[in-house]
Amino acid sequence: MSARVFVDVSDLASGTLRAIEAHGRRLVLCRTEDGVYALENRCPHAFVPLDAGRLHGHVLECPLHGGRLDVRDGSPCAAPIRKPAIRYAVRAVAGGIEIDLGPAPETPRREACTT
Amino acid sequence: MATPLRTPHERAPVPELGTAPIPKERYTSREYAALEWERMWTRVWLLAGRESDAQGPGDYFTFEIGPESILVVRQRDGRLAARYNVCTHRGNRLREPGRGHAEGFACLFHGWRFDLDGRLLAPLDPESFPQGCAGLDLRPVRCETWAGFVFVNLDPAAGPLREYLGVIPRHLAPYHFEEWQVAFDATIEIDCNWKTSVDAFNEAYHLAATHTWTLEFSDDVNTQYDCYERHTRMIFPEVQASPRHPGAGTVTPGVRDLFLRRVGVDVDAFRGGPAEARAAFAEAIRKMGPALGCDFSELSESQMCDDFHYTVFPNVTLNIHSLFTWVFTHRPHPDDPDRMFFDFVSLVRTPAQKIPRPEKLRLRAADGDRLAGRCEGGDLMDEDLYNLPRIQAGMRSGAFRSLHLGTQEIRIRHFHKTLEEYVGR
Repeated sequence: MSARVFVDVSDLASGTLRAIEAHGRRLVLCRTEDGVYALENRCPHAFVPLDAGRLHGHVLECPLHGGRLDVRDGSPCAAPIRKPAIRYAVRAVAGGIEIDLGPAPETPRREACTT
Repeated sequence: MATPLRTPHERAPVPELGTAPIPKERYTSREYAALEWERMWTRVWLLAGRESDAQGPGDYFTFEIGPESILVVRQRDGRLAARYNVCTHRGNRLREPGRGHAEGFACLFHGWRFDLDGRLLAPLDPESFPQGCAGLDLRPVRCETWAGFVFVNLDPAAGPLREYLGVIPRHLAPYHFEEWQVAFDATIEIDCNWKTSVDAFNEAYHLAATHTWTLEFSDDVNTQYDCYERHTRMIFPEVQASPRHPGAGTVTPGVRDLFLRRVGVDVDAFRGGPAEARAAFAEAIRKMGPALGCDFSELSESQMCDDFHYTVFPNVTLNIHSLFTWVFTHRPHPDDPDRMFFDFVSLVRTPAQKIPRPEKLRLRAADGDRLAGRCEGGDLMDEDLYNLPRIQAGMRSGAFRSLHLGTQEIRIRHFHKTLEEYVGR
C-alpha cells in the first residue's frame, strides 16, 4: 500500500514552487499553467534542493548549476542534469491535490554535500 | 515643453570612397579572421542582448562572441554587469549558453562559488592552495546600455558606448526602443563568413533578383543610402512599388492586400493613388497607437511606411518599422571564417500588451532548417539565407578575386573602410 498525502495548493501561484515534507520525503510542488506536478526536492545532479530554482513553463531550472528538468515527467532537458528526477503522481481532488508517494524507499538517499 | 524628437531624414554627404576592388581574402582567410579578432572584435561595442532578458537580481543571459562567452547579470542593486563565463580556477565554462536565473555561480568542475558580482566566495578546500586565492574573481567585461539594448566591450580601456554609437541614439530616440518587446528569437548557423551576411543586408540592390516578388510593394530604386562615422543607414521605401515593377505608379494588389488591408483600411472603398495609399497606411497605424500604448507622433509618414535600416558597426542590422523591428546580429564562428551565427530577433512595439518571451530557436541552414512558417517574413529571409553559403562557396573559387561594388553598395564600401581602420589592412 503506497502512502498518499493531501495538499491544499490554493495559494500556490502559477509559475511558482513550494517545498513540502510528507512521510519522511522531501518534495517540490511545481504549479504550471496546466496543473501541479510533484518531484523529489533534490536535483539529480548535485543533490541540492530544487525549490530555490525557477520554473519556466514546464521547465525547472536548478539554482546551483542551471541544469533543467521537465516537471511533467522529471526528465532532464539541459546539462549538467543527465538523470531524471523522481516524479510523484498527482491527482486533483476536492480542495487540493493528492500525491501518491509510492512505496517507501528501501535505502536512505544521498543528501547534498557541502562544498 | 521639450522639443519633440525627430529622426533626420536628409541625405548625408556622400563620402569619397573610390572604386577599388575589395579583396576576397577578408572573407575567406583564417589569417584575416585572426586579425579581425585581435584588432576589431576585442575593441568594439557589441550588442549582447536586451535588458528585459535580465530583469530581476540574479537573472542572466550569456553572449557568445568568437571564442568568448560572457555572462550578463542583473546585480542586487539593479545594475547590469558582465563577466567572462569562465571559472578562474581551471577555465571551465560556468553556464551553458542561454538565459536563466542564479543566486550565484557555482563551477561544475570543482564547485568553486562566485557571487552575482563575480567575487570568489568559496573555493573548495582553500587550505590546499598555499599560494592563496586572491585575485581570482570572475574577470569583468565592460557593459553599458542604450534604449533597452545591452552592449559589451572586451576592451577595458574602450570609450563610452554613447560615444561609439555616434548618431544612432539621436536618430533613433523617437522610436523609444526601451519599450519594445522580443516577439521572435532564433539563431541560425550559416556556412558563410559573418561579413557575407552583413553585406547581404546592406543594400537594396539585391531586391530585384533575390526578392523579385517584393518589388510590388517595396522600392529598391529610390532607396537612400547614408554613411556616418562608423555606422550607416538606408531609407528603403515600402508601401509603394518599385519603378522596375509593371504596377509602378499605381496602388498594386500587394500594397492593397499586404499593407492597407492588414492595418484595417477599407480597401474596397479606397480610391486614392500611391501617395494616398501611403498616407492611409500611416494614419491607420497611428490610430492603433492608444490600444498598443504607443505614441507615434514623433514619427514621420515615411517612418510609418518605410524601413529605416541602420547598420551599427560591426555586426548589427536594424530593420526599423513603426510596429516591428528586425534585429540581426551577425556573429563570427570561433575559428572558421566560412561559418557564422545569424541571430534574428524580432521586436514589437506593444507596451500596453505584455507578450510572453519566446524561447530561442537554434537552427542550422545546412541541415535544411528554414524560417518560413516560423516567423513573419520567414519566406523573405529564407531567400537571403539560401544565397549566403553559395556566395561564400563562390568567393572561395580561384576564378573570383575581389568584390566589384557599385554606388548602391556604398554602405558595404564604407563598412570595409571602417573595418580597415581597425584591422590595419
